Amino acid sequence: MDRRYFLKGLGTTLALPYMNSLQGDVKKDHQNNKMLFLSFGWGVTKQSWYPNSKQRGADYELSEGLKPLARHKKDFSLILGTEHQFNKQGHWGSTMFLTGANRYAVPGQSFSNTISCDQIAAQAWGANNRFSSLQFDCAKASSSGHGPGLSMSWNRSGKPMAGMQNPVLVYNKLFGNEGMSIAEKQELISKRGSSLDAILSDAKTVSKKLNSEDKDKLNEYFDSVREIELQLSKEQAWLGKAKPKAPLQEPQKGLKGYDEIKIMYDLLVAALQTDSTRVITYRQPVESLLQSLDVGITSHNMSHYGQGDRLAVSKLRDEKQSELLAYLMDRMKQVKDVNGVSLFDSTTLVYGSNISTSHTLTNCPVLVAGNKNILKLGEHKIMPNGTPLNNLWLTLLNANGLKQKSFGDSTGMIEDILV
Amino acid sequence: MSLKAFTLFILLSVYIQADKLHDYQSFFKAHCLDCHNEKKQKGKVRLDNISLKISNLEEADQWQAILDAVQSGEMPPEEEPEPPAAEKLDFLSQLSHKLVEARTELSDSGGKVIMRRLNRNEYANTIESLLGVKVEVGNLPDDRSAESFDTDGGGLFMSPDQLVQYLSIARGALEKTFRRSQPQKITQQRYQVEKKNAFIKKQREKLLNEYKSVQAFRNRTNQEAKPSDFGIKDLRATQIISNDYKRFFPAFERYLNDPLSEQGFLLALFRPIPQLAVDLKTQVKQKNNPHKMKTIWAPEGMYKLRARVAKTENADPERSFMDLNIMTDDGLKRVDSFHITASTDDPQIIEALIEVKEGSRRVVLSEKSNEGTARAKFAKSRIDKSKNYSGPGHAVWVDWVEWEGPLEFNQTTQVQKILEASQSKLPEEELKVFLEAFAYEAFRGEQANETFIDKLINIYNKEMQLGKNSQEALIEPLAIILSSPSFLYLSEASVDNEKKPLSQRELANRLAYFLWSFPPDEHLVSLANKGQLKAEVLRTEVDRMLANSKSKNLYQSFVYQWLDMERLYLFQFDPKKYPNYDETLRDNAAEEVYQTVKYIVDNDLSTKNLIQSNFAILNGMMARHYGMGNVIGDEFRKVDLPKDSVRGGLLAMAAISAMGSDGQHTSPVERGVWVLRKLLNNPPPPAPANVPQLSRLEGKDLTVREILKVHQEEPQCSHCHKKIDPIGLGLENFDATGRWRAEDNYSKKKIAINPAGSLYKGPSFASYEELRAIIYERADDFNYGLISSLLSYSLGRPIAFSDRALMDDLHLRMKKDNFSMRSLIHGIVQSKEFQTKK
Repeated sequence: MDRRYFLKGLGTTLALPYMNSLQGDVKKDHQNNKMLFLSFGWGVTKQSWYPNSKQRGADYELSEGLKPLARHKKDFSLILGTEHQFNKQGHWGSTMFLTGANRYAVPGQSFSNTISCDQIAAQAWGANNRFSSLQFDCAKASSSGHGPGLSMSWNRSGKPMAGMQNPVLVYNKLFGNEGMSIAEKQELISKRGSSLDAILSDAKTVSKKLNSEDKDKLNEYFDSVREIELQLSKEQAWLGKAKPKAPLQEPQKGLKGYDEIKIMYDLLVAALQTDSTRVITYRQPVESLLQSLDVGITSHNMSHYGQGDRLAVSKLRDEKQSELLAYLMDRMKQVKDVNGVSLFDSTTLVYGSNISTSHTLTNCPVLVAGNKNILKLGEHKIMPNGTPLNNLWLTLLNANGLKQKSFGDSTGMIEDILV
Repeated sequence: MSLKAFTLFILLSVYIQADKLHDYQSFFKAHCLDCHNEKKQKGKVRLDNISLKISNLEEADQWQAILDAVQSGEMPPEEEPEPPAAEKLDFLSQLSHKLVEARTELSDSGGKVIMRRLNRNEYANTIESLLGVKVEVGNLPDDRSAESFDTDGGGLFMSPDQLVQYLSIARGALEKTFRRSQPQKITQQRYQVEKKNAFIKKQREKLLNEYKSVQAFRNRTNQEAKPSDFGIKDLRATQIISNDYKRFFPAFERYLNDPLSEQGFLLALFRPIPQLAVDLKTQVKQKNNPHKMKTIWAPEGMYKLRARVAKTENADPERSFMDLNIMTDDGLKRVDSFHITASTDDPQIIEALIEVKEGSRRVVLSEKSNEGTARAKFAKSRIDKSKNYSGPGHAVWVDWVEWEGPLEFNQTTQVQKILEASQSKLPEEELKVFLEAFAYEAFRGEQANETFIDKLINIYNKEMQLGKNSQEALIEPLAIILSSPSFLYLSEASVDNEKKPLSQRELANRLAYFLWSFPPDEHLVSLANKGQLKAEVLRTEVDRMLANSKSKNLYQSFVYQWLDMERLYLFQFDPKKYPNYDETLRDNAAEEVYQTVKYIVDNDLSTKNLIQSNFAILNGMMARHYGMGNVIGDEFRKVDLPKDSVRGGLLAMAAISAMGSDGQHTSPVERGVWVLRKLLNNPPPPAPANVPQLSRLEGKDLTVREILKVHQEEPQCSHCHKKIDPIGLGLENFDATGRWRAEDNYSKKKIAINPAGSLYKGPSFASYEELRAIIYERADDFNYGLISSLLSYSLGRPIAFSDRALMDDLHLRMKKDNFSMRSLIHGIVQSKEFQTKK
């Protein structure tokens, strides 16, 4: 057992283990950058979402499924033709979308994952914000084609990070006092710290009687305790600082589907706008989106579209999702961040899924938008067959000043999409 | 391929390896090596030095990439000549099977059992056995995956958020335990459901008055007048009201004119009066103001809910089922369903146990039907009697509903001790003794270390200092115990590179989680403490445990995963096509599978009954679904089948048919794959990702058989589908819900189903019955699959080639005992592997 697992007197002398230590990695001109990742599970309609593959570059016509984005056409690029070579799970639209991991990479385990690219940004940037990153999510994500996981994000050990599913809770986390005074909060943090400390003492006892394989297994537990300690120390550090004033009303309770996505978009805009965080991921609901459109079939049924009703629903889904994204872009263009810069221009916005259509995992539908200081926008790009999607993540990380030599199975940068 | 066959394969392959090697190497030589050789490594791929002896994951991935490239037609590239179909077929066939074997081989842990966390189900059960309350575990990961059982330590992870959840679930459970332990007065309330008539009459009056206003508006003399002048919102509203009137007024009339409505409530399929909702509350006069009524909601706890119900005269037997639902935070949840067969002269009384809590105080009785199927049935009945807008008549009548509770909280031994300890602030010594004892129980026979207990005492003291009472102060220390590794993991003592016999207590733990998914009970623990868990005593104990109701976990958990029943929940069914198939039927269909396996174990019967048998295990609902009307009631029981019956055996069960469909059509491919994997133990390679749907055939009027012919055209498809498709087509007489059919519809044309076909390089069959007979003949393969699955589930690790000897032993043993599954369970428990930690 490593000494650093110990929490010593959390209430008083807690040092922030990573605060300021990574500052040097962030280049001056990237200090205002933000990253936002949205995923939509079951992919899109093949025949009507992808633009004509013969029209490439800036001179291309928007497809039927992308029409609602027409007013933003110059401000986003489609980066198509990429894939994650290892993911062969037709129902996993988000599990490995930001990681590209090989689920079989650890012998004897039927599932493993690796850090998601948003968390690279969160680790580097997070120290200066109340939340290193935020994970937005939807209820029953697997029925929306997202696959296993708790959000799009996976921590440095490849473990799932919980997402917030309820807009009211998100609002309270960002702007509310969660029903507690500072003193009460302080008390709670120190109580949680003591609980973890007790738990660790049992973990050490167990560890002693185990062989090395089982010790490895128990390390997941130690890692988890450590992560919670880090979260607590962060809460501790921000305890005295008042939360920002909410730039929007508390959301109505019980919003589902279309309205739910819209309010979540409002909330993530508010979170970035108030500098509560600079990194957000969001697994959007597809199942409840369809319910709110009253189409009468489940999203999994829709994903098996051929002709007829299911195809019509599939196209409607594309249209509504594009409509919502266009709304998000409008909002981000209207709003300025704490430094007075347009939120849109300072954010790398990624929108896509690991599933392209039905249960196909090649030619992932991916759209990037926002930060025109680093991204070449307004283009329709088709990458050569078999280009790892991780090349795109690697490119976006580096473009945002997060210097990485490689990311997962990446084979290189896609310089072509940068200015 | 069965393991025995595989042994043979290995032996033979020693002799034919030269040939085999030649196969893929010559394929490479002819079609690949020009570009992928030592010098010219096009696309950084080199194939001249690669061997099909796959010994690690990297090599497996490399070969997978080659397979994918050839399979998808990406290689050879367009400008190069395409390999002859037969050659390509052989290559793909050889390679894909080699990869299936390699994946199994690579998952061989050499018999190592990795320490495992309690899975979600076991965790909930273990908390329940300690604290006597059920907990909500929806926020924990499901743990069931298609690849391994949820008892496999390698696949059971821990994450920070999960750990936070454990702490918070445990706190909630303890609070609930304290609440439930408070003394409660048991009361019995009966609600006379005809009280709803006043409301129904009001609704009818409202509709009638609105309609009168619409009529008045339509007959207006002043053409300038607006709908609002008549109290109607707008023009659109006039249309809605008049439609509602046409549809619903006759339904109101019929309801209120039916004499049965005067003494009870009539359920209906569809609006306006479909369901009976009863809030568990009473109205009492206020103490200081007897003229005012006060609502008292039923206090939380377990209740007995009863209802007196009957079916109406001439009710459609398809509609003689009633659901009992309870409102939850996630909407309406079905608790149970009932077969209603009594007449209104002599109604039957149904009873169910329900949990009443905050947000769950409304019970709803409804006909078995979700909204979709109700709508479909409603529409259908209107077609039958085109002028009747009120839809089909009433089938189920409810006389009254009553509830009794909260039932006395069944305090477990631990709860009694907790309550005792929470009376007042404990002196440190007593607190220590109490915490140690609770931890010992929660840690399943392991002592907690002293530092740990000291820390808990500090936390308790801190809580007391902060002004918490003696009950509240206990919550955190106990929640910590219930979130510690000693509780969350089945940690068996182990030494590197050594086999270690389990201690008696460890054996008891392993056994209890295998057969019950629960911790051991007192009896089992006392045997372990006396060191008696051996040979015959162990045998008797297994029999005792299988007879206990907790063994239902074995069936629901193991069978669900063994047979890949997740698929049952993937699709919603088209209500227009299958108005009878809804969630209630689906759940009963799953239960039929569990109950059949349970019956076979309980009665020490042959597992061959799962392929073909002269009986089925049915309740009223499933029998009705299969067109067998003579089974009455909700409990599953043995039903003897006539000699020529197609029922009997898994393949004839609704659940299996439904798993092999997409909610609209049958899927012969899914069914064929399932038979190969589950019944013939000859799994085809996993479906390649990225296969285009057969969309070029969409819109053409082709039979399933014609569509599947496309699979035979391309070698990249046919090398697997020639094995899969004939089996699936042989099952086409079962529709998507498992009902028997002789014809299928293709754009309103009826075409007779032709199930004939033949197994790949095997016998041919002309009918489903003949196909079943062929599979029955191969029961050895089926049993090898079952043995491997049950062994994997019980040991908590993947089964691989190093387990071959054990599997052969178990198979021999089963065979000797007439293929008894009970004998298999005994065999596993008695095996050295089950009693050893490695």
